[in-house]
Amino acid sequence: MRIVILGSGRVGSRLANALVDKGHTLVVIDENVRKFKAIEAHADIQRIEGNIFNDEISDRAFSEKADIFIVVTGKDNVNVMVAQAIQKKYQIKNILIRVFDPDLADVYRMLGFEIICPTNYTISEIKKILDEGR
Amino acid sequence: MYIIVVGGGKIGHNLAKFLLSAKHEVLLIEKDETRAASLVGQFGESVIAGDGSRVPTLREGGANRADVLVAVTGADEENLVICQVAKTIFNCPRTIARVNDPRDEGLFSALGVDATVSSTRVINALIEEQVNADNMMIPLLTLRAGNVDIIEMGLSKTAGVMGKQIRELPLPEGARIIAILRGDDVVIPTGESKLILNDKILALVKKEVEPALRELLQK
Repeated sequence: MRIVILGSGRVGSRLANALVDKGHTLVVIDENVRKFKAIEAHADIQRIEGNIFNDEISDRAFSEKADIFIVVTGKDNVNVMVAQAIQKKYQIKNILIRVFDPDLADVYRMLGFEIICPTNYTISEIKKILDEGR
Repeated sequence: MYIIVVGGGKIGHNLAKFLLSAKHEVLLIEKDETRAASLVGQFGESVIAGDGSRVPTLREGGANRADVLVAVTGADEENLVICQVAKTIFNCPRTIARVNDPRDEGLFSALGVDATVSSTRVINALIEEQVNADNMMIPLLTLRAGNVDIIEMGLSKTAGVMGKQIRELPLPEGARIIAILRGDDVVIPTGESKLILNDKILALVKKEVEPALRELLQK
């Protein structure tokens, strides 16, 4: 699969490394070139430095049809705006958006997006551990 | 009307002042605590500190009973999220967003924001037509439906429309004069209203007929 990731922080870079090992083709976009340091040098990982709202950058990232677009910058509002802009522009069907704020996560689920909310995961993991009686 | 303004910078601050003077019920939401505190000094309990793009803040602000929500922060992604949360969770009937980057204007409309205001577009219009600053066409508001603007425009002193009644004007299809600004007065025009020297008009106009309207009012 061709997978485009926006945001090359802890999650984005590790995800790219893990997915390329599974045989996928990756495109990783970040405004800050230093963030690419954590990504493996691999023929199947393309790095694009720049702002996704810049047409030239987004056209480069989506020059071939992406199967999945994963949006994991550190800012919730940026993530949901980028996801909607890219969906409109390139008709990408599968988009995963990270949203830290649980309320905002609910809003964008209501609007039909697939949202990953780390806050809720953390809470449910902790609850699970407590339920196991540790 | 109950109007929520999110973003207490220069625009939000002055907008709140204007809306309060026009006797609306207004709530101004500002994220920065220091700035919010200074706004409280001026507007009292019409101000709350908080992130207007978050559900609890808008709930606290009574967004469920707001007639209009205006998002005028300096960040487009915030303005978009504020409007979308207001629509989705609080069923706010009307949302208006400031667009800082003109590239985002089309996106906002496509994503359900009812109207956008782009200061960049206004400034561009000012610069383009600075030769004739009295008679420029200023886009005040862009409506989502039908690609329609509300514009303000002065009349050229020698325009053929001077002294004519509105009903006599060969207005292009897709343009309506909705107000005549005359000194400190606003005239809601009927067919009989006449255009006189130094009038400015507000018009509702489809983008594609803007050149024709400009031609009519200035030639």
